[in-house]
Amino acid sequence: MQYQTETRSSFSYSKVNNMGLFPSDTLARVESMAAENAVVIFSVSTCCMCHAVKGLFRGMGVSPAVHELDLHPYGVEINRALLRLLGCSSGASTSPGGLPVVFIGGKMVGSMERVMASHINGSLVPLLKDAGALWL
Amino acid sequence: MNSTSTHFVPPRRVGIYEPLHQFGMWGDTFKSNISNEGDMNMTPSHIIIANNQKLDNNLSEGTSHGTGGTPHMFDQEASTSRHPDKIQRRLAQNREAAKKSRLRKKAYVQQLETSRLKLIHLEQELDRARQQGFYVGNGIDTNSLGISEPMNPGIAAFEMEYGHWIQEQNKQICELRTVLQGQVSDVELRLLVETAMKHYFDLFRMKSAAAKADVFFVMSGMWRTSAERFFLWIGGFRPSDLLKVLLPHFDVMTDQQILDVCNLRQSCQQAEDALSQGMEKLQHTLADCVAGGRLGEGSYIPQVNSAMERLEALVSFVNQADHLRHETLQQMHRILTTRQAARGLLALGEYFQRLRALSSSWTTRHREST
Repeated sequence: MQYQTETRSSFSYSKVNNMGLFPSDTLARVESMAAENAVVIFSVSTCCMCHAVKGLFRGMGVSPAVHELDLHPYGVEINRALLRLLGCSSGASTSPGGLPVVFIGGKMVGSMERVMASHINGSLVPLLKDAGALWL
Repeated sequence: MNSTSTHFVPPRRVGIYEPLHQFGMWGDTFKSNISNEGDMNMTPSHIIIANNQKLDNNLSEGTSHGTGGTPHMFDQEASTSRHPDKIQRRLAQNREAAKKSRLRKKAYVQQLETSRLKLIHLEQELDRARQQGFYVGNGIDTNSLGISEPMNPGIAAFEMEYGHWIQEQNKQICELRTVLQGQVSDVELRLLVETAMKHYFDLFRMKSAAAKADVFFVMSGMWRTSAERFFLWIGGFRPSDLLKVLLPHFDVMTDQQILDVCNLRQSCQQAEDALSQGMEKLQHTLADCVAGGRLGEGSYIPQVNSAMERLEALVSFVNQADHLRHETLQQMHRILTTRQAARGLLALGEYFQRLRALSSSWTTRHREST
């Protein structure tokens, strides 16, 4: 599957670089995980909102790469890093614990709220097409 | 306190000296005796002049000169020789502090008064609302919640607010109908559309607060009429239903609009389905949680906490559902022209009005037959 890897120029990277609050290896880990696939979802296996966002992408014909942080060895640090990323770019997410968090084409889109908003206003599909997750 | 406090003469002992009178007297003393330095009686007044000027520089209140100075005049005579300036300064500061304290107290009391009035007013409104069965739509419907008063203040407040919201909604629908029947400028129409949109957004905000107070209440739709409840989806209307109601009313649409609406219908349906899937999973996991362990044993305590955690997720679902409704309305507004939007909002408002009317017709029909 073709996908774009944007590391240096990605939005999340430049934002996070200014913070320097958490260990860079966690950040690098998030970066690399987010770049693995066109659509990457950080989720919790038991979270129902995460289930909903996975269903949304699958319903659109996209197959996202899902990382269940509760089953991941470094899940706690990654969750913390994601929360910080979310906190600095938008308001507090409505889901407890901040998950799910969606990355498209290596760039952070945000939580369920942001994903739904961008889908309704028509910006999600072009984003997916650009990242190579959708063909039409 | 310092040593000078023991020399303070209580105001009573001043006796003859009324504050205003005193003020006048000092004035005379300043004028006539300014040159006489040797006189013992004049020494205090000289000092008073110096310090009153100091006061004048620092402060702008006139009363402190008169009232503040009265009891202290005698004090100065006794301890003038020691630290006149310090005493004067300290006395001035005391007056200042006392004055500020009085003003603060006054402000606080005023706040208390207004709060008290507001509370009485709210209690009256609440009583009235309770007597009326909260509001007309829900009044006839008999349900367990309607009979017993909700203990939750957040919910009680929400129900009252919703009653007002319905009244305002009816007014807006009337206005839209009247205006669209005649000639109206685009500017005026835009204003009406903006107001109507904002009104819906207000409802979503109210629901968010109510969901925090009692999410089951919002989910149950008990604050709505029975016919509306029939179509309930996560505490409100289905966004896809909204589009189904609106679309027939737009006869002329540009190609771009048709395309946009088509995309909106699809994305709306997909988002709705996603949230529905999430809700289903929530129900399953909650059921598993509640049924966990052995039934019939009587012990449920350990599972209660995890069940409660699951229920917290319900609040976020209600919020996301309202968010979806909000975004769908917003997107429709973007796609349509002002006139189309006005017509659409009228159609939407009227749709819900008809549902509410259907509910009361159904209930009265039901009553008549028994």
